[in-house]
Amino acid sequence: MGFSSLDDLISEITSGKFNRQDWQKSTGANGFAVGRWYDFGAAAGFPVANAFAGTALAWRTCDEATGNGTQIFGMPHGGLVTPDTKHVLNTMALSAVATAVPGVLMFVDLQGYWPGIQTNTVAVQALTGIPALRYANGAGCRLYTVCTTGTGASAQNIALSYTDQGGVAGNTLPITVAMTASAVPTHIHHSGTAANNYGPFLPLASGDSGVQNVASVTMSGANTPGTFALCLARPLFQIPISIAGVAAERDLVNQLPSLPRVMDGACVVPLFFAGAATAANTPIMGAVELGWG
Amino acid sequence: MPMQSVRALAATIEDTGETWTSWFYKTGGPSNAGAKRWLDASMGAGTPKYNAYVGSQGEATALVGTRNNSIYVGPGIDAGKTRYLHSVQMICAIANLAPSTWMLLDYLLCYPLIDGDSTDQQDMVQTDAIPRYASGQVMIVCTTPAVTDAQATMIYTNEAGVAGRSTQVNLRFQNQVGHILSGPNTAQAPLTPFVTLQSGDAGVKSIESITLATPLGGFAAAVIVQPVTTWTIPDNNLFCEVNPFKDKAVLPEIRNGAYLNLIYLQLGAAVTALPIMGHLQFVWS
Repeated sequence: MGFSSLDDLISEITSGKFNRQDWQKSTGANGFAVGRWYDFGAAAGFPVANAFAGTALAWRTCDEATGNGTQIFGMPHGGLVTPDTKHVLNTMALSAVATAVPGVLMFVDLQGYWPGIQTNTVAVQALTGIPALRYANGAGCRLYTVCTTGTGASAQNIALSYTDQGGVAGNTLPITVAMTASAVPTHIHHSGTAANNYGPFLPLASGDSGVQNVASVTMSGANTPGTFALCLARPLFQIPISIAGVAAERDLVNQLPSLPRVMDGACVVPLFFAGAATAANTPIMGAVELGWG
Repeated sequence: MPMQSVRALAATIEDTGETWTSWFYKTGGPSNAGAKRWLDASMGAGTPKYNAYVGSQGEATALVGTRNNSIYVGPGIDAGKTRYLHSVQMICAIANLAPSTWMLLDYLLCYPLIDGDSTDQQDMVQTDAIPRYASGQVMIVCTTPAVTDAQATMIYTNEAGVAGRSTQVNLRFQNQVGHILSGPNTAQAPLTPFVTLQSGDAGVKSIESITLATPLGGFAAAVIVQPVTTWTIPDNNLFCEVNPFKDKAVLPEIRNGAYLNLIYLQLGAAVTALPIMGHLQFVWS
């Protein structure tokens, strides 16, 4: 389905196939460091924070209705609409705090995660479970880590073995990826401005455009303490915030590529790229408007 | 293969996921620039990492993008596919960095450590051939500051392979590290970061020699680059967004091994540092 014309779009949304969801998140007690990415889905506010519930190293599926089974932390976006397809029409974001800008919000459809990965071991940590994905073969899906227990001060790199969109297992990161020492919860801690930092997503092997599954994670050195979750998500859209106190607004009908699709059951969470050292407990708010037809 | 339609472009992003967005954040850059100077943001800390133009003196050194030594372009792509630049987004939060014009370059080849103290003819050694393109434009980048302006004569091989082509270059060696010396610096110089070539030439395949008219001190690197696209930051604290396909009716190709980084023309007064942040989105098909 989808919209065949602007007339059709207007007809659909004015007949009720429309949802607006406002949200508000806080940077939390630690604040954000400049040049790093953070998982706002794990931050306090509305929707509630994702605490990455689950059994260590075991896949946990996430969706709109049930979240991770413990917290319903994804952005509510109107429920199941098949055989219609749902699309983002507009989005807005705003902070009144000067240190919150510049920043970029990227919304992703979180397919799920493997929680409880340890930073204090160099042993191969085998991940279990087979992700049920909303995208065939994991096309376009990306990986990122979220710190769930603050890490120690030791440097370490991350390695993993994953199955790509073609079903080929055993792929590894093509380059050295460094984890930031002394990471705080919510930090996507392979992102930053240090050498070998990449963000928000882990680089993929040559020829890959998606990820279906991950078999194992291995750290190059022990860093005590610390745990993190490895997340598998599909990027949806993004919006930059330029100026404090002024709403950033994005028209996703007329821009190219337009009308990003939100799949049935999508667990929509925002990631945040801090362009300034953002003060603790800084609130950022916004809204997402969707239509379907 | 080339994108055949807007539908194909959208499909690479929405359906197949053949896209990668790389975010950059430069925490520092060339400092103490005056107005109307071109600067090389690759010589700044942050992500991608600092480019020191490492290499042996006067030896052609190919620049190939790996890891985050330049702006990471995403996973390698299968044979037969072509990568393109889809969109650009950038902001600079420093007031005096706006307005400014930014240019995304594929850095191809550099000749490090051109000696500003020497007025001898400095012959270049063609250790590496120019990668990815048959030719490019030349910019001279300050790597160790010196004290005064000068002229230089550059002998080069043009895009057609004709050797012995000659041009006069105005240089301003009292700039700081990261200043593009071949940019606007005297009343006679054009407002371009690139060396003006001999009449009839469109590019440089290799540099044969550089001879300074007077001793200056300091060191510089001669760099052959391929411009990819440009944009303007009209004001600080505003994200600039460019979609080359929609805005310029082009979809710039990004070749395998591209070493991408940024230069900029600063129209405001001196600043002491960047930062800048932004992203490049690539697609391939």
